[in-house]
Order: sequence, then C-alpha cells, then structure tokens
Amino acid sequence: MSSTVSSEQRKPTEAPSASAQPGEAFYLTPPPHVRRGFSTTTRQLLLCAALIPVYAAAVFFFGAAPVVHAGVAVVTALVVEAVVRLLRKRSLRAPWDAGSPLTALLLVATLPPHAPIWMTMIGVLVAIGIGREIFGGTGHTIFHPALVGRGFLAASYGGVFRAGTTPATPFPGLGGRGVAGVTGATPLRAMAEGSEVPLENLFVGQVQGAMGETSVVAILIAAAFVFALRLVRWEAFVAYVVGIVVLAAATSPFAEFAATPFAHLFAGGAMLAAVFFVTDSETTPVTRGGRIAFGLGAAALTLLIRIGAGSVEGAMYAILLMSAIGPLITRAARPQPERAWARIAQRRFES
Amino acid sequence: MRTLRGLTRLKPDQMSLNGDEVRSLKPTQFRVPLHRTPGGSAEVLVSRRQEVKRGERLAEPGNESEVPVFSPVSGKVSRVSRLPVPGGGLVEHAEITPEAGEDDDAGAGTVVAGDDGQAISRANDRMSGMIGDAGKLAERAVQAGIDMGRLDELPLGRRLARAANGSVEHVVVPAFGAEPGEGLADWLARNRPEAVVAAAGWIARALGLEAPLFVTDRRRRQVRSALQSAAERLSVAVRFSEQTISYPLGHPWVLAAAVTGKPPGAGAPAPENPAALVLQPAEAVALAEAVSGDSPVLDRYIELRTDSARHVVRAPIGGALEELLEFVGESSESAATLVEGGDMTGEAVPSIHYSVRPTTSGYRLSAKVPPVLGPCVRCGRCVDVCPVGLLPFRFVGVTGTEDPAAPELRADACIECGAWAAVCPARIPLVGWVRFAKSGVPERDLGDTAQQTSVEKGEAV
Repeated sequence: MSSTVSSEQRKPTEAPSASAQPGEAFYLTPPPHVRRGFSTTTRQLLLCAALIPVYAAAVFFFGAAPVVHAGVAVVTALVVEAVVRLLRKRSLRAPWDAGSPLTALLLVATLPPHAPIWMTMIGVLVAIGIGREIFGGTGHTIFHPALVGRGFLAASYGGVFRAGTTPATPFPGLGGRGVAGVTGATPLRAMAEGSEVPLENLFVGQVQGAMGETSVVAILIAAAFVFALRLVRWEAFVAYVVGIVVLAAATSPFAEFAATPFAHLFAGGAMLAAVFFVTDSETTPVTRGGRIAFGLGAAALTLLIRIGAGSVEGAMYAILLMSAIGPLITRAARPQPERAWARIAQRRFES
Repeated sequence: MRTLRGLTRLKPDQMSLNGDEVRSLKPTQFRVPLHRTPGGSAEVLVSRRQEVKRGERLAEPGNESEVPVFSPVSGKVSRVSRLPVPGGGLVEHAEITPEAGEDDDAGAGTVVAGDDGQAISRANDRMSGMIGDAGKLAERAVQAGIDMGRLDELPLGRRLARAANGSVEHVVVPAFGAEPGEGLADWLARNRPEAVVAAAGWIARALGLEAPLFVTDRRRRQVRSALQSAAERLSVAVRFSEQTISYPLGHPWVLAAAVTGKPPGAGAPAPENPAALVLQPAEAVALAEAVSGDSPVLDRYIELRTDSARHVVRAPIGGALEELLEFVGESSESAATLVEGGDMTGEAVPSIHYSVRPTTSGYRLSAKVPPVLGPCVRCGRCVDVCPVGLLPFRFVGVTGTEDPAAPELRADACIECGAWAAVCPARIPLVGWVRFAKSGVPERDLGDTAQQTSVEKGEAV
C-alpha cells in the first residue's frame, strides 16, 4: 500500500471510472487474483538468456562472428517487428513479449559461422516478417519462425550450408581457436560419406557446423537452465532424444551411415532442436501425450531425412513437417472429467 | 489428482491475525441484500420510511434456495432498491439508517469469544429437542437465515434438508483456508472451536452419524489440537483426517469426493455429492450462535487483508464497506483492486460503495495493478493443473452453449476453481471464458466481441 497508482498505470483492463475519487473505484478483474509462474514476456527473455552458454561456446570456437551475427539479427528483428506493427496500424507501445529477439537468436544459432551478414538479415526478415508477423505474431504461429527463416535460407543459399571447408570466420583477426585444425565436411556429411567422427569431438563442439549447434555440452547447460526453471516442458525433449537414439540403433544395420546412435544425436542440429525447437509451445501439441507423439514423430522424420533422403540435416524439416500436423494431434485430446474425479475419489481422506 | 502447490501460502506469524481480540464494527449505514444472487428472488416485507427493529424480518425467501433476511439494526428504511453486487448483476437491497442512540451491544445472540463454553452448553440444552431430527434442525437453520457458504451452493438449512432425505455418510468440516492466502476457516477453528465442534456434532447426530469428520492441514497442528480439546470439553465424538492441503482440496465437491470415495452426483442446482455434507466453519459458528442466542444471523466474521496486514472483524450483514475499511484503519486510496472472497474464486468489487453480504468471507485490498493480457501461447500449463481433466485453453473463443465446441469441451464439468488461470503465462481470464461457455449466451448476442474473437482465432466470420 505504498505507491499511488497513477492513471497512466491504470491501462491494462477496464479502468476505474474517471469521475470517481481516488480510493473509490477499482479494477474490475476476473478471478483468480493471484498468479504463479512467469509471464510470457519473462519466459521469452529467460529463453534468450538460456542461449548464453550456446553463444559462449560459439564464440569460443568461431570467434566474434556469432556475436556480430546475433547483434545484427536482433536489431533487424526489432526493426522488422516495428515496421510490421506500423503496417498493421498497431501501436508501437502495445505490450511486447520479446518473441522476435528470441526468434532471431535461435535463427542465428542454426546458421554456419561463415554465412555472410546479409544472409542473416534476409533470414531474420523472412523469419519475423513471414514466419511470425504474417500469422499474427506471438500465439498465432503455426511453424517455428526461426525454422521458417532457416528453411528459406537453406533452400535459397544451400551452398553456404554445405560448404565446410571455408575458413571458420569471415572476420580476420577475430577468429576463434577451437576448430582451426578441423577443416573439411560437417560431421553429418562426413558420416554420410562413411567416415567416423569421434564422439568426444561432437560432445565438446570440435567440429564444423552451425554456430549454435556444434557444442553439445553448451546445449546441455542451456537445457538444464530451461528445464530447471520450467520455461518449456520436458516431454517432447525426452521423446525426441530417446526417439533418435532408439531409432538410430534400430536402423544402423541397414543404413550406409557411419554413425552410432549417440553420434546421430550429437551431430548436426538435433540437440539444439531437441531443447529449443521441439519444445516450443506454440508450434507443438498442447497435451502431454501429444508432445510425446510430436517428439517421436520428429525423431523418426529426422532420421528418415538424414538417412533416406540424403539431405545433410533433417532436424529442421522434420520439425516443420511435424508442426503441420501438430494441431491435429492436439485436437485428438479429449477432456476426461470422469477419470479425474475417479482419481480424486481414490484419495480416501477418511482416517 | 492434480493440485496447485506453491501459491501464496500463509506464513505462521500471519496466521495469528489479531488473536482472540475481535472487534465488532458498528456502521452508520446499512445496505442489506434481500436475496443471495441476482437470479434469486425474495418477497420484500418492508418499504420506504418504515421503522424496523433489530432482528425484524426484511424479506421472506422467494424460492427454495433462499433464506429469510433480518434487519441487523433498529432504524428506518430509507430506500429499497436494486444495487449491483460483486460478480455482476443486481440484487434487491434495503437501505437502513440506524436510530440515533442505538445500542449495538444490546442484541442477543452474539457469543463473545472466550465465553463459548457456557453459551454452547446452554445451546446444547436447547438442542436436546432437535437432536436426532434433521428436518427440525434444517428448519432451524433456514429460519435463522444462515447463508454463509459459497454462492454456488444452497444455504446450510437447504442442504441439510436435502441431506435428511438422502443417505449422507459423512459430515465434513474443512478446518483450513480453502483458498491460498485465506485464513478465516483456520482462524474460526482455532478461536471458536466449541462453536464449530458443537454445531458439527449436532448435524452429525441429526443425520444419524457417529461423528463429524474434521479435515485439517498437516502443517497446522494447532488447529487440530484446538478442535480436539473443544470436543473433549463438550464430550462430542469427532474424527480427524490430516492432509497436506493444496489448492483446490478445499472445494466442497473435491473434498466430498476425496472423503467419500465417490465422484459428485448430478444434483440441482450444482452437482453436489449426496454422500457428504460439507460444513464450513463459518456456517457452524453461525448455527451455534443462532441456537445459543436464539436469534437469527445478523452479522458474521470477516477477514480483511491488505498487501501487508490482516484483520478479523465481526461485521453486521449489510454494513457499508467504506466504514469497514475505516474501522480497521486501512485506506483504499492507493488500492488498485478490491476483491470479495478468496484469491482464487473471489469477485472483484468495482467500487467502495458496496456492502457486506451473508456469504462474504472477507475482502482483499491490493495496490498491485492487474497484469496485462497476452495471446495464448499453447504452453499447456492449464491442462497440467486442471483438477478435473479439462482442456481449459480451448475455451478461449467458445461463446455460449450454442457453440458446437461447448459440449465437446465439457464446460459443465468445470468447478471454476481458477487453478489454470493462476498459472497462465498470458494471464488469460479463463474462468470468464468457461462461464461464457456454460452460460448459453449465443454468439449473435455478443456482437462485436464474438466477431473480434473469431477474427483473432483466424476463422471466417
């Protein structure tokens, strides 16, 4: 009861009558009147913070490139969001939920370090403009906007993604140290061509690949953060990881792919996808069973694309494909009050 | 069962409230509601400029779910009019100006805290004629105007009358705050244990049961010991069930299902559980006082909370809210919200010019500005916490029972506990949407609102 509530603060809901004296009229808010957990904005900002270890590993291996890309991407994202708001005649001051910088940071994490800056900007433009805002922004997207951006870039400038032999950084003098000795193909391409990649290199990130995808240990630190704070739910993550390992083990006798199940999991974008894309709330099913189905389906498609379709990385397309049927999985869920009541009745309070 | 942990819990030092010292509010204005809900009805017995005496009947029940209403004060009726109530709608009120020099302490029936023992044994003597006759006890409760429970339930006397014709297996008293942050039930069980135990004992015996069952929170042993020693003093047989309470275990239907092992039955007006009668401590105290003082219910205990303090006040029904705040020394000047009832299901009070209802358990005044709403991000937290297994997020945009989605979503099964809305990161008022889905308001009557929602849902209008 300390601060006075000014009329400026009284915006969100039906404001008390203007003619009332202070202390006479109050907000007409629906119950409940207590809240638990993070708001959407806080959650998105914490997810951005969860990417810090991923970016730290990227800087360690690839030098300043990830930071430069991330900075440009975030600024581009904010500009695109503002322009779209103006085009839609929405106020720039309307509530903002930090969804676009998160999308930009996730997109950059899936790009190779030698990607030119203009490519990042185009990717963000597509991700925010088409992937996010055209659908109506937060809460209305069907496909993960960062994956839409990355999908567009991979389809348009595939050579950049395939090139593994270019120098690790386009910024001379700012180079990282880690992958200096590792030239050649990305691990998945190497494995597809039949050569083994040491698991410890994959785990630490001593390989070629996209900026945020190579270091499994950094991604696991980020995962610990997001699951400890319950920013996202774990079901789809577990289903995806287990799905990849089990299905890779099951298919390895038949596939011409020099990868152990864990190499499949640690190589390419699978781990980043498991933590940040498969668990995304908007583009995946809502119920627990639905999320497990989504994770397993995405795992199966990832392997199918990697082994069967001969594409370098299947995780991205697998998730985009699963997102298309996500709403159908959600629709299959039915309310079950009878079962819930039976569970309550089983408590047997009588002592 | 899924319950909601980690919501604002009372700290032990907050639970003492102000101890045994309860002050009684003596307002100078009264607005007495004459029926319980906007949908209810009453036969009004008084008119403008009429003199009324304390305890005189103001209204007769208009239907089976109402009880008589009595004047809490001697004075003159200045107006009978329809006034808004928290939660929306209009209810007939009698506005009464007290007589000058009215001595509030003169009224019979008020048991002073600390003197319960004698008053209750007098009441026990009075009860001897009624024990074993649930019908008589129900009639007594109706005639005393006891209406202290939740608004979606029938008043105590009406529930008791139904129980008398049915097969009740348990009389259950939840001796804990039903909602996070609420402490009135807990306070009454500790400070008026004789009244609570005696009334619960009468009801159990009238229904032919051995002993009432008190459900207590394992973390609040003092509640159980207070009730236990009161039961020993009064030689009433009681049973206890100690539980780790989390929301919404205090909901009468949830509690009844957990105690009886049976899901709620389909009864009117709400699917109550025919196998259990849930007796709120406030109802028990009101019954004990009505019998011991041989008078109708004229006032009730109110818990008043702010962001930093709590008070328990005995306030007359119909007493003006502004005077209640002034009385406890709290100012509404910097308050953003005022809520009647608990944190989870209570209703916002839009203006200070409201008054205490028989069902008012308390008020909460808060300086916190309500959160900004956002779009649903389909995080599924609502599905996780819904105790009755619904898919709450899908209620957004469902407009009335004519919406084809409404029966599929089972809005009828919702107990409106508010658990999902409390965890929603987008702060969507799902309780409102569920009520909408239950309400039968067809989409065409909602005009622009419904159209807007359909557009936001991306559907063709």
